[in-house]
Amino acid sequence: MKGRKESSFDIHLASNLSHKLCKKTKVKSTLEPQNATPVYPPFIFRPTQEKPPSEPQVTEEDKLQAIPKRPESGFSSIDSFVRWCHEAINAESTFVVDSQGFVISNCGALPDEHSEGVGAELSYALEQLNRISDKENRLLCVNLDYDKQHIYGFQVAESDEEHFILGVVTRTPLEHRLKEAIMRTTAEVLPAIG
Amino acid sequence: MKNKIAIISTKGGTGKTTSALNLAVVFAERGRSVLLVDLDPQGAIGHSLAKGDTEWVGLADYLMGRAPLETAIIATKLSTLSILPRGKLDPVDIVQYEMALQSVDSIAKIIEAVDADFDCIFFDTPSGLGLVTRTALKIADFVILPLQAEPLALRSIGQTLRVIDHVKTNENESLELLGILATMVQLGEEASFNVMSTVWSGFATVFETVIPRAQVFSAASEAGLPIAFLGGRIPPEARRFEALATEIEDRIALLGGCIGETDERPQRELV
Repeated sequence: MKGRKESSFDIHLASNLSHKLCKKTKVKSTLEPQNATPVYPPFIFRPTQEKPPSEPQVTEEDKLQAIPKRPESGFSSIDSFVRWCHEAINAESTFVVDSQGFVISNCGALPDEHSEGVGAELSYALEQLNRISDKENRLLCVNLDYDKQHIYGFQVAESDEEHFILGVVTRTPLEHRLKEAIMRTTAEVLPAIG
Repeated sequence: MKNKIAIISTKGGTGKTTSALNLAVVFAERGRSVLLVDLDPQGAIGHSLAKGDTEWVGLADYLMGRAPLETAIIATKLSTLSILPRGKLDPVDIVQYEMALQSVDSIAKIIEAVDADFDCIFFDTPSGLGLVTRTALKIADFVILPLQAEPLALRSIGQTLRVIDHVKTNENESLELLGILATMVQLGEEASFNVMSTVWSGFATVFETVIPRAQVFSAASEAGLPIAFLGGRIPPEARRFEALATEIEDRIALLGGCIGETDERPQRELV
């Protein structure tokens, strides 16, 4: 046709589609084949005038409420402290290991066979990392993110030689505020009852 | 019944309603029990038959609970042809009407309720490829694509074919393209001839029958009648719709279907 060049609109695509949709066709297209198949971007409606929902205002009161309250009577033992941490974090497993890597208290599901010895490994990892830390800038926490689990080790040094580690295994990462609260509480409580 | 035929086109003014109405009449005159459903929110079938916006009850009235389905389906003077018109609808409410048409399978349920009463059902659809057209394609067994024989229509045919392909692949795998129907053909005009040349040489499933641009359609529109119902000599365009109906029957048969009676017959003796 006279306006054949106009067929670059989508005539080739249309022709191909008509052949595809025809089960019994014996007609062969005489239109020159065109390799470039148009790619249609998906239509996703995003109103341009609508402002994105703003972050909810977090007040100081909210922040305080997000941090679990300590029992008024304090912690009578490491076990009660571990239990409090476990519930506050909603962890899968919470435990305390000493500087030798021995579990001295635990709560929740024990780590499965792949995580066996996680306390000892955590203790070893912190010991190695302590070597690159200076005394003015002490290591407080390590965080290992796996596909399905997150392991946290909160370190409390009682002396240069002796330290405790609060280990936590969770399904979801800890919020920063909660992590800070646990770190602060651990540092404060654990040496006193350890 | 597996003869639900949607007539769709993204472009307006291609002859969807004219084709739907005149084909429905031909099949009905052949003794087939036919329902013509007006899915066009503008009520194009009603307008073609010179009915005003509030003259007929129909689909809108049924969907709003104002009329039972039996009342909404209009019997015609052609005993085998029934029409489910759009019904009484304020143009202001067309958006809500379109949403109602495509929601919770409204049309599918209506068609399911009357399916057994008809040999074939034609859906006349609005121009475009929006909700109503998609709804029709989802429940149809076959689709006919009228193509106005002019360059602008040819340029947009890819859009319609793409949607048919998409629906067949993702939503209604039993949907079959019966054919592309060239309408308003003027082979004496270069542009129209060129379009037909491109279509005949490059596209599959083009009906051999073409509908020419003819004065008789305006006369029928003015009288509010299908062309076969105009008085005087039977116009050749009416014969074309008969030929088109035969082609449609043949194509449906080729695809393993059948409209009404089969064409099987017992062996006979000649002498």
